[in-house]
Amino acid sequence: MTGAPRSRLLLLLPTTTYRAGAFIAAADALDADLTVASEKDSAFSTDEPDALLTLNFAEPAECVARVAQFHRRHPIRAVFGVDDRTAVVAAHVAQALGLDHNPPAAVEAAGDKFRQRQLLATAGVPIPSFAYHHFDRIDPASLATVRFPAVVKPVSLSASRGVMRVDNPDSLAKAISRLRAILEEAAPASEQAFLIEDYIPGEEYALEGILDDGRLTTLALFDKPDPLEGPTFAETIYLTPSQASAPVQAALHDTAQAACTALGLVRGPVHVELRYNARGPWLVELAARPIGGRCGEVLRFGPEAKSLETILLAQALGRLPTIPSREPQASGVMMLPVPRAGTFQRIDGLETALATPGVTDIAVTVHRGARVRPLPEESRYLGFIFARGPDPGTVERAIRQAFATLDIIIEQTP
Amino acid sequence: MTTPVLSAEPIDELRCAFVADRPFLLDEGPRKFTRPEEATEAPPAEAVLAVDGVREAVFSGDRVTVVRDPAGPSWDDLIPRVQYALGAAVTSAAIVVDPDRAPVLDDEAMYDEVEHIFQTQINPIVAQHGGAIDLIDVQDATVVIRMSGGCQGCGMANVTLRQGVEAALKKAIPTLAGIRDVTDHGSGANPYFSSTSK
Repeated sequence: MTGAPRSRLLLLLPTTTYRAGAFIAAADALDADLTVASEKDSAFSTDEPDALLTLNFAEPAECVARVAQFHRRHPIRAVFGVDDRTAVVAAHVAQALGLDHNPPAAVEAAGDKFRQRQLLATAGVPIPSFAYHHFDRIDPASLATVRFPAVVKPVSLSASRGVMRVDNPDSLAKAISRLRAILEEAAPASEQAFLIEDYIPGEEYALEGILDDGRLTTLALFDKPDPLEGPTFAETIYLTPSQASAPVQAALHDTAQAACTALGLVRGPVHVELRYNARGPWLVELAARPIGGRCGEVLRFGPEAKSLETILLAQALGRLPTIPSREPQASGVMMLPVPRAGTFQRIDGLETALATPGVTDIAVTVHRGARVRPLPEESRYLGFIFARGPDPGTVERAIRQAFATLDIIIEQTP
Repeated sequence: MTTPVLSAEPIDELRCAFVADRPFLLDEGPRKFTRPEEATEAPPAEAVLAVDGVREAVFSGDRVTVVRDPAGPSWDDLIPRVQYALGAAVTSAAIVVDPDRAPVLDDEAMYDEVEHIFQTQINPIVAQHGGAIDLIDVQDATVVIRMSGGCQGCGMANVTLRQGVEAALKKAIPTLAGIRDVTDHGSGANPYFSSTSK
């Protein structure tokens, strides 16, 4: 007796991801035949060619040709990219193979902050006023018109890397110089350009959503209780469900939906950063990928407590007839910021912090001996504190209590 | 097996650390237990959660941090009961690394087969990335492993295990149930791939 052929999933996992384990577990939960593609060879690439591919994610056309060849031997049912760059590759590959997908141009626009803002502004989505500058062609007259406070940010990079608030012409000049050095080091091949935007005061939120046929469903809306006022914008605590009023939540959702429509995104995950103030909602960033780091681990859906990654891969495989709701319990995560530059040694007090009621896990994601720098030069996190509880306030207290017991040991690097 | 030394060091009103002279669990990193059903494969955790008044327990190497129910018994009452429960569980040695434990025959045969594959196939491959994988045990057809070198803390360790090691093992041993990784990846000092981005 033979069963129905299993669905093969091509998962595009960069070797720098935090989320290999979560996506592997999700593929297992869905009982999918899995092929993992990364930009560097796995030790087993030669021995397990059906299970592991190496793709140059910087060249989507190359990836399409390589995957099309693989597809002839091992038909692929779905392709999924976990970050900004692989989402673009996934869109191109899916289009070539005739699979459900986002238009490649839409995903590319989402990954380019300037293009994104042009499309959003044209569509009337509320965004900060912005101006594009190339490092080699900076117009002093244009800089003289900047309204302060403002925000300087690269058109590439993510996770607040290179993003700085400036309050006067002097800090603007310093920020531009600093950002140029960051870009030359972090992404020398990318466009050496930046935006200067109005600084938008207000409460900040993160919306985790999923698109189906262009319609956005909010999977989770996170409050960010720590003020994000600069000079850099380190993410710390995310709490869900949001305590914002129903009208505010609806306005945030509608703004995110309008932004997705303006970009042409129709399917799959979106992660949207928004602010809300007396003038209403503002879209700050939108990415055509799920939430970064290991933050998705705080989300569980439906009576079976499925992971975010399971929901997303199920949709990619065409096995998500309805989008389940997030569990009623509150949950939260804290991204442990790098407090100072140096050589990471260890975090003391983990056991005691983990024994804080409500804290469910603490993950250290930087290895001993790693050179670390705080924002804006780098955007990596030292680790994550996860907590659950009856309400967001209890979760926030548990996270802060646990964090207070941690002692982060970073040796100053000569 | 001798009874382990179990000192008790109260941390605050709700938390107390107990330290033994040997590791409690195979898992190297901290592991938190809040419900008995999570602890069925970890007798020391199951034992301590069965003590009336204990709400949670965090195991890490030779140390367990116990959280008590604020409405339950005080530490004066709880400490000796927790010490007794932990001592009995460790002495019965259901999960502590115990060379005397006699695995069932199938697991024993599987252990030998897996060990041979690790020596002849797996470790020569992962050595290319400066890594190594040790076979710790086979329990109910699940292979328990520990990674070191370039594999410990590697951002792609799960991919290596699922797409490389497990795939290779299943070709030779179709009845393999899975792989359980007990590596403390947080302590890896030289991972081949580091997690740094979204």
